[in-house]
Amino acid sequence: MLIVVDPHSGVPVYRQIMDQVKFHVATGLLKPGEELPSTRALSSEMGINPMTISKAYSFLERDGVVERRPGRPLVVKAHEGGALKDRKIEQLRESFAPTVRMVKQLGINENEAIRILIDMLSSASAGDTDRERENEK
Amino acid sequence: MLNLLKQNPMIRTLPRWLAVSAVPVALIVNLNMGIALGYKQTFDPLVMLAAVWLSFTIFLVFGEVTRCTPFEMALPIPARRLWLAHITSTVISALAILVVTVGLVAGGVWLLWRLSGRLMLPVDEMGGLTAHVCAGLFLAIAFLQNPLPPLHRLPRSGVRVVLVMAVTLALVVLLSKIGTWTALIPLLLAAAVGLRRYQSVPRVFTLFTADAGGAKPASRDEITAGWKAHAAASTPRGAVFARLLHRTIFRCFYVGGKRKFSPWLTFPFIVLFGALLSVVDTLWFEDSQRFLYVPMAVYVLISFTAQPLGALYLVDSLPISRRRVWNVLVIPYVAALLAGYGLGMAVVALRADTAGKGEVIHFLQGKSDGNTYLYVPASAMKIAWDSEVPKTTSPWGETHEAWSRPLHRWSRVRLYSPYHTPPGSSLEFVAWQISRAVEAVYGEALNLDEIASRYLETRADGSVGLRGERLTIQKDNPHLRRIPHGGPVFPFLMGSVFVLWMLASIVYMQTLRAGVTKRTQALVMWALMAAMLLWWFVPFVLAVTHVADPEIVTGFLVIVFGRIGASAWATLLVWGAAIALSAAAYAFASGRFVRVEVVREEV
Amino acid sequence: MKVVEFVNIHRAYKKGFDVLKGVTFSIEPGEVVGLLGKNGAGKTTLIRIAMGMLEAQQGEVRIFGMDPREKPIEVKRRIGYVSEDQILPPFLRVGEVIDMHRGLFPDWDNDMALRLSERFGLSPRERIRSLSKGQARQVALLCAVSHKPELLLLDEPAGGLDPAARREFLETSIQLLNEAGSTILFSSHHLTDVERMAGRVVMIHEGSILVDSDMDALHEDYTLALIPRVNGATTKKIIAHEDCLSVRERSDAMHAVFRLDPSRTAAVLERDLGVTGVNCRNVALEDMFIELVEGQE
Repeated sequence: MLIVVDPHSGVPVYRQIMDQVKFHVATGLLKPGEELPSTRALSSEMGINPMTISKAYSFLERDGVVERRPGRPLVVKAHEGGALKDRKIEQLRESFAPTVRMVKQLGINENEAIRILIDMLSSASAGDTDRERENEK
Repeated sequence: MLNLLKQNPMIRTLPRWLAVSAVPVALIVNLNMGIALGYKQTFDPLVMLAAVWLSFTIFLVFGEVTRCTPFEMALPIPARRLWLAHITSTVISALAILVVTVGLVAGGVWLLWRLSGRLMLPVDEMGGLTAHVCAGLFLAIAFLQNPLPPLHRLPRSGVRVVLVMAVTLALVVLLSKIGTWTALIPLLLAAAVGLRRYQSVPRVFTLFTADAGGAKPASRDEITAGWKAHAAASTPRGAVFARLLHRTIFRCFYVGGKRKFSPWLTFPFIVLFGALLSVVDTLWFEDSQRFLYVPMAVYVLISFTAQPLGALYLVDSLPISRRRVWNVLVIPYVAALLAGYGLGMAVVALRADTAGKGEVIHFLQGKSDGNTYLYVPASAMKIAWDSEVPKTTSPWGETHEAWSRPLHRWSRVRLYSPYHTPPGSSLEFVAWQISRAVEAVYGEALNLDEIASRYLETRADGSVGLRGERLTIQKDNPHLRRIPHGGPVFPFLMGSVFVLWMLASIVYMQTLRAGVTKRTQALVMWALMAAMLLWWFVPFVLAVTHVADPEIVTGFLVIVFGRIGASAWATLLVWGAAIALSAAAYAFASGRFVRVEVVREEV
Repeated sequence: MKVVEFVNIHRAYKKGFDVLKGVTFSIEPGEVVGLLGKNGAGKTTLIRIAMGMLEAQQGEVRIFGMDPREKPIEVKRRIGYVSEDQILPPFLRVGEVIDMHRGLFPDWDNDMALRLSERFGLSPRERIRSLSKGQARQVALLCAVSHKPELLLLDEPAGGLDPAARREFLETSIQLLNEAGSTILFSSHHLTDVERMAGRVVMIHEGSILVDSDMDALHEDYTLALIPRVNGATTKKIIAHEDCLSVRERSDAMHAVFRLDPSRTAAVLERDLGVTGVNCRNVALEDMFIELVEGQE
């Protein structure tokens, strides 16, 4: 499972797991209907207390990201309507939060910050197209 | 250099080894001298030599003989300096053992001289002998230093040590017979060998040689195969498991902990003292002096069992009851003690028929005056409880005083000999006394006239004298056997030893708590051992100060126990008391051990 | 029934030198509790008292409801104990150690023991004294877990082990957790391991409990604030705040631990102390430990 946990980061482990599962669901790496590894398996593999894993799983269940089926492991819940889009936006907002704080602390003008963002986004896309062209060659 | 010496494990463990090997060996030598005195034989000074050799060999074989620790190897000290420190430590240890042994033996010689007027070891000879001993020890030490391979630990091969020590002992014995000056030869040889070794000491010691060291690590397949084989073997159950467990516990304490007391060393000593507690010393003494050996037996038991108790940490995390652990620690030694006792009795029984049984009834000149008296062993005498000693009256009315001694200087109890023949006794009286004495000691009466005609004659001055050199009752009547006194001495002695051992252990266990320093623990243990050691010397001190004569006291005890033995319920009482007290002491000690705290061992 | 109960434990080694001063806490079945503290704070003493190796001079200790000094065998049968000091008999072979444990523990799972031995690369014929420290510790661990103990007591179990050995140790303990639902009380200096394994943290400082908290709560509900040295920000004022646990003066700033989440802490600092631009963040266990312990002194 593509979850990496940094116990040292100060962020509780269960939250790290939750965030990463949500991220993978949002990017489509974890598709609806896909089974999550059992608590035991994941705890053995990652070397984490199984209670932490179950806590993460129950929170994910509460947040509607995964669902429990009787006698079967947890599965990724199917996206209802615009739920996937909402998820992605939620992820993005979360990643923006530290940037927003940074902007405020540095005292940079909002519009300037937005301009920088747009600039970076376009150069990123350009880079992607360049790489695609390279691969075609 | 001084620091290196202080840290050297040989020096640090020296006091313990002095107590465990030098002291008991020296005291046994003293015992030997006493035996020789009793046997009226000369004492071979080479025994003292052997004693020193034995103590030192025990020290070398069982003790710590590291050249230097890996810590010291890391310091910027040249290997030669470390080697010198090691040799110096060995020499100091040897000298310490020598001093303690010779000191104790000399003390014994002096005591015996004060008691009997006889010098068991001539002083001048002892001086020369000591010089030889020194030289020989130095030579042995020099030979034992083998710089190749240049390991930081001398390869501790017991066989090699014993071999070198035996060879040097033989050499010293040989040279000592020639003359004192020959001590120079081994000394010079030692210096030469030592110098040669010193020069060949490498720059650095190593921890392992290239070809020594561990076996190559097993491969995965080997490990799997090994475990398959292990799983295939059945679980040790029942008695087999119990044996494994008990053996492990025993070894944890006595071999596996920080203090190593190899059973090869401890069991022989304990069996020896068990034997001494039996009547085995009647092979040499007229009366068994075994009451006196109790403190030494306790001393040996304490010295072997006190410190190892600290190894509890090795087994305490397992679900084994501490009572069971205590049983494993104590019972083997009790068994060894009893086995020794049995051995002693077997030896006596086996030798009961051989010739060489000593005479115990003597007709000799007294020490203080020139008159001849009839001597019987103290156990054949009688007890006067109120200091009223009856005179002896013969059937024809001849009356004489009986010789007596008080139990101790201020005692009203006196031991008296009703077979005494003071000056003025007639020949008939002497013969009569001799026959009575024979009856008392051997249980058989001899013909009066035969005694008179065979052994006695009237001297020119009218006194009665011996015909021939000595009174040879036993020799002339080889079928005669001494009546054993019997009585419940066994439970009394064993009970005393055991109870004292348990009490001492209880005292020591009070120090096995977190918060008590190792120093305090060591002090308590040494104090206990010193107490036993001092007690060993009490009889000799009493004798020298003329407060009490040990022979009289032991004779008294033998008679009393004989009387107890005659009464069935008194015997039962003694047995019962011994068993009850032993059981109580055991339960107490066991209970104390249950509450001992496990202290973190020094790593 | 609580697995471990410490009630007002006092213990002194020398007169006037208390190692434990009134320690009270208990552990429910299935909990994993990390015991933290500086060297000499009393962690080992506490664990030894739990094992019945030491006596509490005051207070009570109950393991499975029993006094470990009154019923040592019943208690020890259900405990697995691994300690930093080597306590396996050095002269025994690995196979013999396993056989001995097999006979002493009725619930011994021999397959598990053999599996672990193979995994650790231990050979049954090797003697304990010729093993490396890490390997010997592994033997101790596998003996401790192979009888599926209800309680696992680990006293600095990974001390001196290399990271791979430490990880193996961790995984073995977690495996036990999964298979047997054991309760674990362990003390360790490797706080990353504690963060992985422990659901609850008890910090001991100079014989008393400093913090007894759920691990996630420790991260979420506590904040480390890095307060720049400006006017209005004095140690006294900061520590006076009821939610402040400790303050440490550093060369460039002050480090303060608050029992509030980061945003609340920032708000409090701005409002009560007029300090802005404070970096407030969740704390890693190690930082928490250092701040609290150093901040006490």
